[in-house]
Amino acid sequence: MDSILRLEEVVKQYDRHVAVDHVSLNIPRGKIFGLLGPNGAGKTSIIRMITGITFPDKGRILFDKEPLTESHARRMGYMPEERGLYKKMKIAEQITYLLALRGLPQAEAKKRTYAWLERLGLGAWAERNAADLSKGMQQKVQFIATVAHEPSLLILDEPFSGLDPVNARLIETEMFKLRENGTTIIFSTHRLEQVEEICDHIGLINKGKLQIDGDTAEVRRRFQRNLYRVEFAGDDSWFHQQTDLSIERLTGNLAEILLPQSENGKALLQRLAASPLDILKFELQMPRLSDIFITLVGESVQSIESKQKQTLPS
Amino acid sequence: MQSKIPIILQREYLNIVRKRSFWLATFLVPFGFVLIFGIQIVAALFVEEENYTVLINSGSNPMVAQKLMDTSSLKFKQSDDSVESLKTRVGRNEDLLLLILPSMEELSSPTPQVQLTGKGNISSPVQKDIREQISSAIETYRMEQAGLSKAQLESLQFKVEMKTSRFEDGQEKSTNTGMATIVGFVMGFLMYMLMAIFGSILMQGVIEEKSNRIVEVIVSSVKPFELLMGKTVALALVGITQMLLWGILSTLVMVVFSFFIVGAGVDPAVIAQSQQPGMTASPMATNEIFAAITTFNWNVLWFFPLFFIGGFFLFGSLFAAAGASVDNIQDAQQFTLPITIPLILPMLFLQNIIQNPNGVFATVASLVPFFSPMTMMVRLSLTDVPWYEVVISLLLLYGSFIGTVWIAGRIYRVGILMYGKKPTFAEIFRWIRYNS
Repeated sequence: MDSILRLEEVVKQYDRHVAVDHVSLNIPRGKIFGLLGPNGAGKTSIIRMITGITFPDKGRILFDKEPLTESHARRMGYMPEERGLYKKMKIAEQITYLLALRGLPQAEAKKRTYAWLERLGLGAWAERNAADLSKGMQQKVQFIATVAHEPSLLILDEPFSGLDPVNARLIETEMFKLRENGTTIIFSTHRLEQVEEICDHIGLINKGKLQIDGDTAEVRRRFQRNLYRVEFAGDDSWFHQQTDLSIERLTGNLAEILLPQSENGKALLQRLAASPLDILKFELQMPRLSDIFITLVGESVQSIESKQKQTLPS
Repeated sequence: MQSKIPIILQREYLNIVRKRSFWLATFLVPFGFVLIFGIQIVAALFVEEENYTVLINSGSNPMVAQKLMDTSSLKFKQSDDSVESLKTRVGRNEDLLLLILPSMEELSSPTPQVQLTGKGNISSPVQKDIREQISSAIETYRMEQAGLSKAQLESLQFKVEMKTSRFEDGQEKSTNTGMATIVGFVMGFLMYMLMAIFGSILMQGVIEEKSNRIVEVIVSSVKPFELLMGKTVALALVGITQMLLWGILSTLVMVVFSFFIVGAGVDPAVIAQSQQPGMTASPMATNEIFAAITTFNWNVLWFFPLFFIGGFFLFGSLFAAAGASVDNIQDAQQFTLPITIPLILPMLFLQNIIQNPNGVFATVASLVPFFSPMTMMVRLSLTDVPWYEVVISLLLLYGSFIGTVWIAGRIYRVGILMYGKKPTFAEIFRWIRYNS
């Protein structure tokens, strides 16, 4: 696998608390990688090391097969979870400044700033202070400052938190566009249901440890339980007669049937076809990421989060 | 990799220099100082005279009464009227005073009693004038009683006039201690103000970046230490810019001001005579002030930026560390207190240093890094400080700021990423040892 970023046995410790515990990860080039886990799992600690804000206590990080250094900042874009702008600075100046800090020459930074402001419909606001903009507009400005220098690796920490649906959609669309252009995107979230469709790859983190990582579909396949989902029309009494089938759920016109791992769905489908029922839908049920998480750590993300107080360094 | 400090420096510098408050302070401070000097000059120029006729009850003490001499403002007049009727006259007329002299027997007492009555309050210069005349009259009377001749008496009376001077580059130049004291005090105070104000501007900038959460984006592009240095150096440059502008403006305003007051080649006394009646000028005062301005060794001002930079880096870096440790300005108070104490302390011993700028206390205080920016500037204004003391003071100051900047940088890089609970001092000290 061609990876743009590689973490090797990375450890990060704050006082006696181990925030990141021997994590090894490969981020495949040109994909969207979801870094998942509950709040306080160590996502932000990992991201801060990737972005060069902090450094691993042990292990190493390779960017394009080279040890990560400050010079890679030019090729990265980073939008932190908690993000903001200088309130009393013109937004065009602000974006230009942040792009220049990334290593773009001032003139080029200025040119791209105005082009992007036009593109996202903020052209008229270029010379206004950030304080004059609505929250949604400010989020667009932050996004521009993150991507306008065309980074090859984009790191978005909880990009959808605090976004209204319109802007969330906009960011999602832009993420796909960037991927088409070859940008690799790492984004973190604690909301697992958000990422199933967006992420090509995922890594699941809990208590500083990597629980699982890989291709999203592959991971889901690995955890599938051979559970079949049947939507039907007609009397459900037929199911009650099939005593050899392990029926996990039967409600209205929906049934979930668990088959032994040795069997595939073919025999079941034949039986259903021979039944008096009208079969509307028949599918192998893929596990949700939240189910996989429960399988792995024995607890749901929500229950972990409700137990955690924000005393850990995030 | 090219340093990104210049980019940060540019933003931070322009951010402040573009503010209206910067220009307001830049223009108002020199006007303020010139105004203070100007008011003093004008006040010295136009001393309002009080004219009184002092009535003396003729019977009271002719020995003393005949020795009282009229001055430009006081006229002594003996009157045969009774004390009671004189009092009634004084009570009706503001220009009259009634003086009751001690009796002949009382003249040999250690504390002869005199009574002065007027309609309103009697100003202290008038009181002083009359008291001195009576003292001198009694003194003369006592000497005559002791059998001294008039010639002997005159030979006993003298007044010492002292002129001070200093050696500079082998040349003797006259000095004016009063001027040096004023400049010394202004230097010390201005240094304190600048370090406190610029320190708190730096701290507010750090807190702003932290609380509006832009700092995390910035430190993903530059090292936290680069950001801290960019901000600190930018503010130091703002300070230097402001001093330059103050220098230029003060000179301009002074030139214009002196042009108006002195007039082109016109003697101040001439202007004084053209003033309204009732006002007389004291041309001496004006001349003295202008002489003082020209004789003061203004070269010491060149040390001001040097000590400002040292002091600002020393205190500013600590203010920045305090700002990085908190989420909002209210929480910062607790951490700024230990920084403010060594900053204010020299203000308390400014008086001692002005009184004895070459003493052991002043010398030591002007070498201690936290105190030296203020105390050394005061000493430099007042006295010739040996060059090696200035060098040692600067070396110690610059050496210490490297230390505080290092510590502040360590606290800063951890603090800017910490949100939520306000840290304790113990936690902040632990941050210094953290791996980044």
